[in-house]
Amino acid sequence: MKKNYILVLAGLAIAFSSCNQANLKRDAVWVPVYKDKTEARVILNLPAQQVRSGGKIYAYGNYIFQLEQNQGIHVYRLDDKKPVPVKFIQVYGAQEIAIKDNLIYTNNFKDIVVLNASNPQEVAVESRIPGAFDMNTFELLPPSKGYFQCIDTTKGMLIGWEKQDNVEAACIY
Amino acid sequence: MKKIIYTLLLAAGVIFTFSACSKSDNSAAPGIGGSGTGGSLARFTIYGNYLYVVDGTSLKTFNISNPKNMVQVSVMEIGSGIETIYPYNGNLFIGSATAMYIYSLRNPEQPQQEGMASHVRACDPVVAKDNLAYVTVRSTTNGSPCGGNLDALIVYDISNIQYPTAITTVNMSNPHGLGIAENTLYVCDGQKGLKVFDVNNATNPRLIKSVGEYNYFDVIPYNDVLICMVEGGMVIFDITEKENPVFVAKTF
Repeated sequence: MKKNYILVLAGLAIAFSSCNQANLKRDAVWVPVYKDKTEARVILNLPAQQVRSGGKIYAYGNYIFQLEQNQGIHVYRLDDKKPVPVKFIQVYGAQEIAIKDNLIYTNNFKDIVVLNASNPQEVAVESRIPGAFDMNTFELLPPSKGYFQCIDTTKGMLIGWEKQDNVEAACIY
Repeated sequence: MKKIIYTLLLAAGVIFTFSACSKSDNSAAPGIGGSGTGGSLARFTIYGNYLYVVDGTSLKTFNISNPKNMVQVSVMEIGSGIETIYPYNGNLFIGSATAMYIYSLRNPEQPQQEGMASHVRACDPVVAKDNLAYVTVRSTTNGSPCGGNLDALIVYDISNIQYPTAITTVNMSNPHGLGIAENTLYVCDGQKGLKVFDVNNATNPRLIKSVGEYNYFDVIPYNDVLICMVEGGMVIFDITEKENPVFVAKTF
């Protein structure tokens, strides 16, 4: 699947370069943000954060959750039907969530991980199945359409995108 | 002292969590034995002691009886473009770019295909209740990655799950996820808002109202609240009266 994605990107890149100048620098380009492989596996308990690129939602007991696309999980407590921010769980690559018996099942890139949330302040990794999940490649694309710098998997794991000016961008969608 | 109070509050929260789960609830996708409730765009779902995952072309089953050592017990090849999974009444409803599949969980380790309904090529989350399944299809024109040119809500009769039959199609603008509570169906119609349908008569869903302002992607009816995934975060409505969502708060 990932291979297909890279092929598509390569295809797009070629399609683009064939009718445009190579090495052309552009403004407002989406640039990939990478983490090295070891760092990308680290699950962290962090203070609540603002939603930037909100993903899927989930409800469990008195809590509701929203994925931050490829970054982690926002946790809120429902207080008289109002969501009160509780925390953010950093899980790079996260796209999916399901919960049972205070255990959160999510994906850390292609690994399925189980997080023990019995103590919501110190969510900890309970177990991990490496390579058990094929990520949805569409969700790896930049937040909005336009030019973007092609993903280079040799630079690490893709954890997000940031806008930069005056950079080369050979990919577009 | 503050810390102790906080810990107690947390403990109370956890206890509440458990009591909330042990109650039988009648939401559209009820938590089964201590599990929570996902939206219609989910690709992970838990049913009993199993985690079901759809990715790409397959349905994977994991035994999670021992969460410290969960074990993948099967992989079923379903077809291309598998996108969503929704558990209901001992079955899994799986949305792909070309069809809705129904898998029985009689043997939870080896889900068995029971029925299938092909539809036009499109993205298609599914929810189900009683003898009906509700599917939205969204076209490429509206930015779906799945292809196709129809934007609609399709209602299937699933009283015989081996032969799901389309009974009606309602045109939509830009439909994404959907959710059902009692006889009210909520359909996220992108920037056209949240569409609230009365589905007492499933052959003729009646649009009650359209709630605007945000770009709606998915919903979870959860007891008396409706949790909506919108562009920018989440929006919460009070749905004590199911057909009349009342705005409560947003997370952004």
